[in-house]
Amino acid sequence: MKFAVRTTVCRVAAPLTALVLAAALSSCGGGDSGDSSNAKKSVTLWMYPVIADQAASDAYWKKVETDFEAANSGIDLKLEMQPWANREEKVSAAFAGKKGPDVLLMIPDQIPQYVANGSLEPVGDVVEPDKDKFLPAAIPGLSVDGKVYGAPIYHTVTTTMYNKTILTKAGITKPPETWDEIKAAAPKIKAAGFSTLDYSASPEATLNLNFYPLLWQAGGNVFADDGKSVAFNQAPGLEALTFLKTLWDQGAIPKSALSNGNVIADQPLGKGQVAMAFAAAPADAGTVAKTWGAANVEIGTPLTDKKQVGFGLPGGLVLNAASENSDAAKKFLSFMIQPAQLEGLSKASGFFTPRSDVKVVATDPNAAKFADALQYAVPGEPNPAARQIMSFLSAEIQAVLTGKKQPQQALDDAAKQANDLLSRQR
Amino acid sequence: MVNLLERPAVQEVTETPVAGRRPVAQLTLPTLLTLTAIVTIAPFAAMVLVAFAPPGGRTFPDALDPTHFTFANFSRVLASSDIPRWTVNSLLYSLISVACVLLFASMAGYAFAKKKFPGREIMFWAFLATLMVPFQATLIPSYILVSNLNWVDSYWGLIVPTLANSQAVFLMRQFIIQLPDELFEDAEIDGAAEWRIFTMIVLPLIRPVLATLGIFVFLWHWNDFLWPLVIGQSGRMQTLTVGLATLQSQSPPINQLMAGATITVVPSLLVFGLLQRYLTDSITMSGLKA
Amino acid sequence: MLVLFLVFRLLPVVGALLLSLTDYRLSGTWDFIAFDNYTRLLSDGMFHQALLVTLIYTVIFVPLTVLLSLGTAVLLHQVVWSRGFFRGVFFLPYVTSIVLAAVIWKWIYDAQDGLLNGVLGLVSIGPVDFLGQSGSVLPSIAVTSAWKGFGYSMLILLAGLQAVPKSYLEAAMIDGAGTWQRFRYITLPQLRPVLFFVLVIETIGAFQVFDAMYVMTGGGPVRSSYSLVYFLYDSGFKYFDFGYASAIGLVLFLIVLIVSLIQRRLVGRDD
Repeated sequence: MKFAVRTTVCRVAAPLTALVLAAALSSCGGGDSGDSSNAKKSVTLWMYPVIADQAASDAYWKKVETDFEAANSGIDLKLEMQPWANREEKVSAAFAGKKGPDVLLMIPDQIPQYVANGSLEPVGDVVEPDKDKFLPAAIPGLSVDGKVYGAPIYHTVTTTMYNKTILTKAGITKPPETWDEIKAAAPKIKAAGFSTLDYSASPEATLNLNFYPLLWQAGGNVFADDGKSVAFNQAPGLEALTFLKTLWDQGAIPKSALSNGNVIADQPLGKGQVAMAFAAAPADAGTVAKTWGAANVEIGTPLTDKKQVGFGLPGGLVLNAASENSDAAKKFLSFMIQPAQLEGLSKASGFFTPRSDVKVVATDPNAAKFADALQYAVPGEPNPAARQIMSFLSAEIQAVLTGKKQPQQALDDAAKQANDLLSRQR
Repeated sequence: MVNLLERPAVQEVTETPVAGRRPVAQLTLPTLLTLTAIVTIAPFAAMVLVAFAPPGGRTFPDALDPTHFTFANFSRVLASSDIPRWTVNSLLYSLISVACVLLFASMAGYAFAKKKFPGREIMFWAFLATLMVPFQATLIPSYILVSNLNWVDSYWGLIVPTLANSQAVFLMRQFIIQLPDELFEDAEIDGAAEWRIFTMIVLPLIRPVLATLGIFVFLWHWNDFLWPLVIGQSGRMQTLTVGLATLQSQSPPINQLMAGATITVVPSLLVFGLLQRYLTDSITMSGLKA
Repeated sequence: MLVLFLVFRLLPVVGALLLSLTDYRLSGTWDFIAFDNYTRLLSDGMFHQALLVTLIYTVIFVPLTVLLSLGTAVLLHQVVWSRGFFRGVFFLPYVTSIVLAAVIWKWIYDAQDGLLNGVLGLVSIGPVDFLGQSGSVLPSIAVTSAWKGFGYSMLILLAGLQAVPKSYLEAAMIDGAGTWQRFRYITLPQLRPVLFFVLVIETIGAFQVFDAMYVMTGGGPVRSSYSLVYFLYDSGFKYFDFGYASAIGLVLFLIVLIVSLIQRRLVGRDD
């Protein structure tokens, strides 16, 4: 009986092992994604659906590929479109297995960690010639420790957005532009049956779009200047959190905020139940226009408390440190940041361009207002521990909103965890 | 435990005798079933209805108004020209896996259930153990392994690692263990070879379970998002789930999400419908010599 | 099979084990730090919270799902003419992806105009914030996961029920045993191996819950739905601390192993 098993197992195992070995050997022979020493070098680019409309996206990137290859006959550009979903797993797996693309799109949130891991190559030489033609926040936003890691290709901006129908119903003639004005308007809006301020408090919602702008508007910072400790539990932080809590207690913030992750479409704001948002992007204006009616959308300037600040960050192309074709890749980066390419991208995607010498003709009145807000845009405070600290703070903010903790206590608790973490950073 | 005093030589009937059940039971049964069915189906129906709602973020309850139904969400999602390629990839991924997993798992399950060999229990628990480590922890090591084999972005890397399905082995073992040992003893007395025992006795007896497992394996692979995402680098290697995701902007409105979902669900339902009838097969025990 | 298993299942697990003993960085450089990750884990408040959340969730989810699947399997087993239809219906949720199920249910649970609150409103209850209160969030997510997954266990239990030899049941009926007695003394014991399977698989699934929480609550409110795998995911893919993440994975594995062994003692003794 005992041998029977061995026979079965052997019968299966033997051919299988042979199969596996054969496969392994055969694929070792042939190369994958063109890194052989042919005359043509290949540069692989991972891009995300930055351009929402698929047809427009295909058209734009095809043109980029054609134009680039025409100007650089020895380089073959391969573009691979990736989904936004689960992008962290995909990118970190690719870097871990040393099989990533040569060039890919990243935002300031991601860059410090990949730099700390030694995954990215500086691209200072690419942006150097045109350095002063970019918006003030564009290049610093993609830099870590003074070295530039990303070549900016677009710039986002957020500012206030108002639902005129609600404001009219509540009898408010001038859209609130400061914290005090919001506090004054809240009771009237509540009486009309609506919430005042949109907010997203899910732990998955980046604080760059909710708490941090308030913190900056109060004159505070997340990190201390040296980046080795946090500063959000000082007076400005307390002021911002108390502002939030006051509005929450008054019922001026929708209750579903606790699980909202910066989504507009099917949430209270999109459904026309909230009077205003303070970190709306151009795409959001388009989304709510469908439900509110385009005429009812009003764009304002970023909120002011002690400072007038909004959030806006550059998106950039980064270079994989393990790339075997970094020269060719850098040529592509230089090509991409030229006015022609950036103008086309901006038109197609609706994002702003990071170059100040490129003027994109605004197709709708709101665009002009968003462009105005660019000057107040802050790209966030990059730090390798930023995301982890965001999650500490996010949980504490939820504790405050649900009444479990007092604001100062919550801020201090978060600060303690954050400082612990920072002291452990190498 | 009731002893097996006589070998059942007649085809088993699956219906329980109606006589002897109280009339009340006859009413509660269908009612209970229907109620559960409604609760189960409601969210699913909502998903399909929302997929037909006009784009622009109209949600419940306006979304369920049939007069506004439109195919707009579907055409937006189906606009990509790569869909045939993605579907082929998904089909390959799913169908090959079904065939291989059914074969391997039943063999391994049989071995674990009926064959005694040294280290059997430990090996079995090793299989189980791999189920207990969350895949997020093994994702990176798996990827590095596949990458070292140079299988990234290839069908080999996509399919082969998923063929070692411990859960399938576990399931097979649990079912085969129930088969009476006498069946096998008889067959060995008769001098049947290992392979014949497997194909002539075990396989027919576990047909319903095989069908069930087949459906599941198909589903697991058809709906799999993370592994094809991580392994497939280029467009030509993407499966349907991954490909559809590349068409979505960062926060797609619920209508589009549901439209994409409805599309991926259709083949799964087809497969289920096709294999359904095998599930009702009764377990037939062939006549045995006394 | 064995080769496949060894290479693609066991090896990555061993890899994860090794990772947990180091402080691996993405670029491939690592330092061997032995059990530092584990000692840090044991004193990490976040770990305790995640452990508690996961345990409570498991205790709610497993009985719920097992009873639901067993119940529907038994019901289906009695019916013949419409069995196919109902079986299909009950299986529908399983066919959707967990992410979609979570999105649908999130909308159902919505505190302001979700379906559930709409229904409750008809009898003047609520509105209840299902996902926003730490007391109700875990049961709510458990219901969603149970809804999505019970079709699987149901089908398996159904197949198991069909494997119970009718001769036993007939013999018992002749002896005068009632429905419940037949079920308890014949059907259930015959079902044991299959029941063991369902129990173990659902327990593993409960301990590994993640997607539903990620989509529905982001781990909130205030981490009351922050499971161990969520913690693992964040540590690995958000903070890039893969060594720590692997350690979490292995601790999770140990816990599940112990629970499964206990279940084996209670249920899984194969005759």
